[in-house]
Amino acid sequence: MKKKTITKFQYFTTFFFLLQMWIPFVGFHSLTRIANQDALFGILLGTLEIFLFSLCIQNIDTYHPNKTLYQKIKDLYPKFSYVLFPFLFSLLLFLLLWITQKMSLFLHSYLTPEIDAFWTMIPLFLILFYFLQKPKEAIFQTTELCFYLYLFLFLLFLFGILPQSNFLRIKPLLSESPSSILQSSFVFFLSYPLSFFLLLYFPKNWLEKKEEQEKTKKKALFLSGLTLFLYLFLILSSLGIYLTNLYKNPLMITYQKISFLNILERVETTLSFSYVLLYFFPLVFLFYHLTSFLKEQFPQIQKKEKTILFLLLLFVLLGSQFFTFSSLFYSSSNILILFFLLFLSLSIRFKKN
Amino acid sequence: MKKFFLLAISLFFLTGCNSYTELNQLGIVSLVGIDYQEENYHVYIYLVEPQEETTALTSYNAEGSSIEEAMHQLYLKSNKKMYLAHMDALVLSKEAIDEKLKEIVTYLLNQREIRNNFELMEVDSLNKLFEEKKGAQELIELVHTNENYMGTTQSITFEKFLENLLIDTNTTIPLLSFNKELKVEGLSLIHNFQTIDTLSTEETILLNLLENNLKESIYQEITIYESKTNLEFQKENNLFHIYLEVNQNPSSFSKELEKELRRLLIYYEEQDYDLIKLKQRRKENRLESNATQIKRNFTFDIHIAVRENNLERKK
Repeated sequence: MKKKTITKFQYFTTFFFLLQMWIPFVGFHSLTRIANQDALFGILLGTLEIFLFSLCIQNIDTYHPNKTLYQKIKDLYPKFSYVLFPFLFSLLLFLLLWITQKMSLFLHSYLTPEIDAFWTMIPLFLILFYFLQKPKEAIFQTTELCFYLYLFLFLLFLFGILPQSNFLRIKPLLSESPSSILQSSFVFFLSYPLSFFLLLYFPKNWLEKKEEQEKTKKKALFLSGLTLFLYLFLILSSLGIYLTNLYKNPLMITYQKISFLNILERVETTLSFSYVLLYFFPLVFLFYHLTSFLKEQFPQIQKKEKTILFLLLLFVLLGSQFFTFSSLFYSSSNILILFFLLFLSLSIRFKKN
Repeated sequence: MKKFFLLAISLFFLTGCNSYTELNQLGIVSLVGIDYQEENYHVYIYLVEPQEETTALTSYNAEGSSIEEAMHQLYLKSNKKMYLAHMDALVLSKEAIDEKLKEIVTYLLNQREIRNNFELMEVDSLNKLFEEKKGAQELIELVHTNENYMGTTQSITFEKFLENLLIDTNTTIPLLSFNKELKVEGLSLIHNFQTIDTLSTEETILLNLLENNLKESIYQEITIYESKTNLEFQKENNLFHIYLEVNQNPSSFSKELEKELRRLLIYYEEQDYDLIKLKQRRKENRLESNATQIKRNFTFDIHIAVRENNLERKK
């Protein structure tokens, strides 16, 4: 019989992708503009802060391990859920619009400059429509498969850029004030609550080895922190701090520099597929959140699931063309989610006591 | 059936026919020249056009009040779609550097196709250069050969040029002249997006020597076989340890060289131009921690050890 649970590795890869979405949504320049080369320490310190945060909200997972996040919220605040749910729904919907807009901008700027981004997004949304109708196991299996691809592209980047790197470019380290390093670490940390929120939806009981959930999360956190550190280290050593600060997307400029033995060049289009993956999975999980939320709250729409999904996709696709977002939208949404998760965790603690 | 339907629809969006360009409709730009005369940009380009058996270089030029307008005029003259991704070199006139370097850099940074590894040069008469059909490779080889075998110039890529300008607003660019024939003239010194001076070929050899970039050269009729320079940063001083292997008169050459190096360093220190990027290098070595210290003038000392080449001695 086919297993209907999520394996430890699939859970790991899902969390890894949700953590890596920091690269396209916030980006390295946001740290280097604050702390220059010392942004490297900002990443290390920020990873530690995220680790502490994950320990703080650990009890959300263990609270009613067979319930989804929304069921837990309803259980904790039965009266307030009528206010909270529409608010959370709207926030996630706006985040979806923001990500879709950001992804179409990326595709238009770097991959298909001569085609209007709207047309590039149509096949992607068709894939999403097909993909989101699949059971959750299929989604997790896809993250597992894509993880190998992402790892391959990362190794390609690593070995391609090493000959172009000059580690002296990273000097002088620790030249910025401790407050700048701390500030960059906070900027880094404050972009992560959404990743935790998206992962928390899945009940602990869905996991094959429930007891190893926290350990798996820590491993993903460690690997993600290490990958981001290596990315920034290689960007700084190949571009230098001045050029890193000049470009909004220094990683894409670094991709352009990659050359294998002066024979294989111009691999940036291939490597930027890792970027597409980092946009794709947050979209998948946000849509999954919203559709599951609607199904939980309105059981009568179960039969019209496809229509609801289609309308939601259509709304996001068209809506992303018209909405304009403030540059602070993503960070402010994350801060809201951060407080919400801390509040939720505290409520569980008090309830248990 | 549903899957087939979805796949069939997706195929219409995945073919990429929308932006398809035939190779023979593509004009691959190898060299771009920008001049600025009488408040007008003069843009010159070389297009590499594949022929039946070989490739030919076709030059076009146009002018306009902005680079965009000049490029637009070029499009009107050429029957090809200009493709800048394979651009090898950019040549600028002195006027273009002095008056419009910032605008040119901004234009280049905004071009998605362009990569930052093309080389930059300053040429005194751009129109002659393009009339004589000197290709990008010819210019690059001229600069590289002079850099590697004589030390009379220094090549620079756009990326390095940008980095230098961003670090301390100082940079250099190879200077070429084209009177009767194409010739290396040394280096043009740029400060704050303007040329402030030029270094002759002999002065460029000295600069390469100080920066430990000199492989071999001939300076004042003395052949330098080998050279090595170490820069030692002291608290209030910069100490150059220079080791040379020459063909004759090591002691008199040593004195003469030290005199010339001092003259060069003192001259540019007085001009407040950081010729060998001492401030930045001291900062990298954590010798300066704040802006006031960086602004302070430093003293320097030169220790030269010259020895005669063994083969010359045997003669």
